[in-house]
Amino acid sequence: MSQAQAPAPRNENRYHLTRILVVWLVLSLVLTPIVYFVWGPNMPPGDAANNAADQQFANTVLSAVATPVVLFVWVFLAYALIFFRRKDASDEEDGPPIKGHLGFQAGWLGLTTVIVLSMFVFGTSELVTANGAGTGSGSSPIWTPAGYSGQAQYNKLFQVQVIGQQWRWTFRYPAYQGVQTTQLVIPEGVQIQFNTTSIDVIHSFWAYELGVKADAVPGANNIAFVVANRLGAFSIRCAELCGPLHGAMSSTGVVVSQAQFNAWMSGQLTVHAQDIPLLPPYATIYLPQVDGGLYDPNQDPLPPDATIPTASPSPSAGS
Amino acid sequence: MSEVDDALAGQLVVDAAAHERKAALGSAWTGSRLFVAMSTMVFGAGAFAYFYLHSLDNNGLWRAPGQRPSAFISVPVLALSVAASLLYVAITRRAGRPNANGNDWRVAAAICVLLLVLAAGIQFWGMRRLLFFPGSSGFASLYVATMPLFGVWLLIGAYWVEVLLARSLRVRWVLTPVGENADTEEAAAFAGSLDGSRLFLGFLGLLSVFLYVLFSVLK
Amino acid sequence: MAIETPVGEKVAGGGTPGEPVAAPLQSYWRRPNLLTGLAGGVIGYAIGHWFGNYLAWNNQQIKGNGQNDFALTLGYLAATIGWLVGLGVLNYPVAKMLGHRPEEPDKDDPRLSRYFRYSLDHKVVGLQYLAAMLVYFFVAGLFALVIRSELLSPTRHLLTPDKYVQVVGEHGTMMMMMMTSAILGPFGNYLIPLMIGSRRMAFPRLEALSFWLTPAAFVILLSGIVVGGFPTGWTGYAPLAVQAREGQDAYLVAFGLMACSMILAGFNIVATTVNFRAPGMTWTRLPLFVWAILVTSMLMVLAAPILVAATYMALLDRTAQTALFDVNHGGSSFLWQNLFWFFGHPEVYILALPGFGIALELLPVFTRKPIFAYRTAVAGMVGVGVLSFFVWQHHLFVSGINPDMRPVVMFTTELISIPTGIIYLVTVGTMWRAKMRITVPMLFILGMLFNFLIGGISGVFLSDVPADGVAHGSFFVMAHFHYTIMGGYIFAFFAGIYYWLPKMMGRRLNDRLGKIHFGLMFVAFNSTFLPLFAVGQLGMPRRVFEYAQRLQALNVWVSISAFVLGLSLLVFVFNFLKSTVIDDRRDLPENPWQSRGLEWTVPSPPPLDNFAAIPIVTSGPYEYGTGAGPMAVLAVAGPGVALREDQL
Repeated sequence: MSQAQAPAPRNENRYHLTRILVVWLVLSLVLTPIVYFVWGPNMPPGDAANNAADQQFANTVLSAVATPVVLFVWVFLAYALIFFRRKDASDEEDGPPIKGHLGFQAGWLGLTTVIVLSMFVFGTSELVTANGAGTGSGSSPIWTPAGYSGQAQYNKLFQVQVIGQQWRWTFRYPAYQGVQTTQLVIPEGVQIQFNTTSIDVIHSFWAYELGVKADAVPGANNIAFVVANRLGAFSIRCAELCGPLHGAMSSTGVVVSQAQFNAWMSGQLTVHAQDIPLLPPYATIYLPQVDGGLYDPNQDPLPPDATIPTASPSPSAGS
Repeated sequence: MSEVDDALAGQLVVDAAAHERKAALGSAWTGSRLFVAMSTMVFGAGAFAYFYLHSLDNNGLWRAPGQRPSAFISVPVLALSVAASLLYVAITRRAGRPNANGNDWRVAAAICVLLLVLAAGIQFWGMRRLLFFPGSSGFASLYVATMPLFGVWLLIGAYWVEVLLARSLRVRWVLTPVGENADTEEAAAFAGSLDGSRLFLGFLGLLSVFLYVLFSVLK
Repeated sequence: MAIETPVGEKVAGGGTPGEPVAAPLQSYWRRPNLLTGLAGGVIGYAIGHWFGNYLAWNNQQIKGNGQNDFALTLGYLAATIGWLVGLGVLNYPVAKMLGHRPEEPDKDDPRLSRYFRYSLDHKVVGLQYLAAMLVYFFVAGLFALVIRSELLSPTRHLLTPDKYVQVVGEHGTMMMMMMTSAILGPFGNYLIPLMIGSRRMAFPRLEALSFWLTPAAFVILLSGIVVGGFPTGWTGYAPLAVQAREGQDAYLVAFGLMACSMILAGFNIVATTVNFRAPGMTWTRLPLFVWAILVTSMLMVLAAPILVAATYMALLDRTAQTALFDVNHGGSSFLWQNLFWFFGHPEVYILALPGFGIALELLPVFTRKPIFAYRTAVAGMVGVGVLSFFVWQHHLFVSGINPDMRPVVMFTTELISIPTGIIYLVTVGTMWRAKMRITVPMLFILGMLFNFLIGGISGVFLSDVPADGVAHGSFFVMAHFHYTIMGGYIFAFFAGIYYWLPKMMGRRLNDRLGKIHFGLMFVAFNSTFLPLFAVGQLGMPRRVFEYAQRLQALNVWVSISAFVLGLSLLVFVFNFLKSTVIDDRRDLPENPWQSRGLEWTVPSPPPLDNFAAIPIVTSGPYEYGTGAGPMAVLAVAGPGVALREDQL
């Protein structure tokens, strides 16, 4: 009854292990290439822009790596449910007292470590080489395309500012007198820099087919880069809960040829000729200014019946 | 574990009272350390906010030039908290020794409670005499958030010491138990709580210095 | 009602045979109870609300927009204090100030009423938690069904956008907030002393307090709907949270209270597990469930205070006009995100770890083998706990944080898959050449393992920054956390109920209904949440009431499956009520699962002091197939020599 702590005769373990590994190997060798080569090119979010293609590639690689891992657990569970069950309800015997197996444990830990580290290397390399892969990289991105500069006068990229507010997206083009439009139109094949900000709460600019997602944070500039490869429309949705109409905060952008863009832009400049001078000067963030200087709270007039007394002994009602 | 096998063979029992006495003592030790850890996390969040907002300096409004809390409030609070802390930590250490005079400790504890309550009171009163509007800057906001919370922590310390003081007045032997009394669970629980309170009061003293540096010393 | 105990039989929590049944109602009222608590809460609210009005009636902010956050917040806080006063929670803390000794309250009260009182018996608290958690779960689930009804069509709407976002927030917050203690509360509190061979908890008053804070938090959270709801979802993001109407105060106060409850519960469990272990219960013999709850408790004690600080800051922003989260005045909306997620990520491991604990605890019983690689399993759980503090920024990948941080956090997040994978290593090893018994608890564990795998793998997608670019803020994230939390944690919760109910109440849930519950729930759960991965990848953001027309078919499928999922839970409710309340008590074997666990060596339900004498533990709980004797020497027959514990 009381079995020795040493593992059972090796053929028993090896027998089951072989059968499981064979089934797993066959399934993995069949399914992983299907995932990578057949499903991969059709994975979301498509490849209409360089970022989308990068994200699609990330999805493909991760799925291909996940497939054998998931298959192993599934094959094992199925095998265990069939072969490692007790014969019937009257079988009261215990199983073999296997408390550990250094080789198996070490192997498993080693393998998972290798997989995890390679996923980390993969993810970082993609982030680095893809200029942030369409994700919002903050106000001072470090992996940037050629032509980018932190200083506006040296920045050669095509700039679009995305302004989020409850509950609509607007867009400003600094190179075109800072005109503000309600539709996002971008030229194809050009390196574009999105400067995302908000003027009230946190939103998130998600241009699905372009593969761009950058939070629009008030008082902060969030930069994302993209090159669109295909002409056509793309959907813009808000991806951060910003109030009741968050679900309705969507828009459609268009990727057009350079010529079409120029035509559209001159049209916009004409249409908005009256309001361009009325807009606040283009800036990457919009914060309240007083007389062009920094906001001075001491100049904030307190209401006469404020409950918080000021430093000067002025008679204040209430409290 | 061979003694355990002997226990089986010799049909021995565990002295439940001794076991639970030791457990009570240990729980007080564990509990006081956890409470200090937890308090560190609460004020740590405040400290994080301080340095984070300072580094961001959004809209140039981390701190209006020359903005500082009233020294009339912050210095007494610091002084009283540190005094209470030092007094309590020093006297409580002596209280644990054999032949210690329990009344020394009782007087010190009473003074400590008074100092802590006074400090908390001054801090809360100071919130009605702010030199700045709470929302005028990040610094101001953080001050308004952190210091009343610190006042609450001072009151927690005062409560803890007061409870021990009250128990030692009602059950006089519990502070310096001798003989049979030393074996009771009550003596163990009191001793554990006393040790824990000493740690907590020491922590309060350090915390008050830290907050003073943060709000009244750093530029 | 079958729960009324016939004369002579042992009742839950103990009591002497021969005790008369159903004592007169009069004596119920002489001691504090649920009803006095409610009265206290109402009175407290009135006082607090009045005080808030008194403080702030003249405040410019309030006169302008007609909503008084001072009054509501202070009302809620005072209501909670009144509730606790009414329950008698503050009796001893106040009596302490006059030097009184702790009283031993009416522990030998055998009546049903002890479950409606502030009780210091950890077993009573455990059952109170169980009932409460089931209520919170089902109410939150009802909100989910409303959400899925709304999402049946992208263009035709059941609710206004305002109401929809409120419902989403209530569902999410109730689940994430209330259910945090769903395993630790009922099972941790009930079983830890039994599993470590202790007769009591270290801080029974704190434990009971942690329970009684939860109904207060629940009611406050629900009341938010009445005062306009909160538009931020369970994450409470800052500028919106400060802008929001009064319902946001309900969210903030409720979450703060639950955080306090979590801290207290965790605090008590750590102290108990460290100090009250029976002689011979070494760290290497500690059941894995206890290890899991221990690590969870440490996370609660260290992470929940951050949440208290964050909700407190948000309340100040809303009332005292501080500007901590207002970028225009020197604050920052990133501050909320960082503080919240510094708590929020350990929070999700607070949810995952007890699930692992139950799984690893039940596997040896139903495979009849020792747990494989015990020390590695412990290392895995501790590793998950420690690492969970270093990964929170992965929730902020696209928010514009310092880009240097992203590869670092990607690394730590990927790294956390290694200790999580250890759980599967232990599972594979324990099931290897086992003699598995497919009972209802085992089915739920198998389901949990299947679901958590999918959830965990989807987490790897989210940890990869480029892939996160698609998935963040979309239904992919939704599917990920529903798979890990509902598919993992909740399935384990049900496994725990089916497994331990015979111990806790001396009743066993019907097996056939249990299998139906499992089958229906497993299929419906996967049918509901698997398509959501696709829905998210195809471009549907979270918390929206309008979506692309092409996604309607998937959404309709998901909604129908969600209703079937609800149906499966009704099967459970029926089974539960039938087995515990409606049916008569049957004679059950004391140890229906033939488990070696120490908790199974005492009668079901256990007597008041758990063990007649402190047990001496002589072997571990997982020694199946090794021929080891029972886990502990319990009571000694014949004259014994009293040995001081330090001599063992």
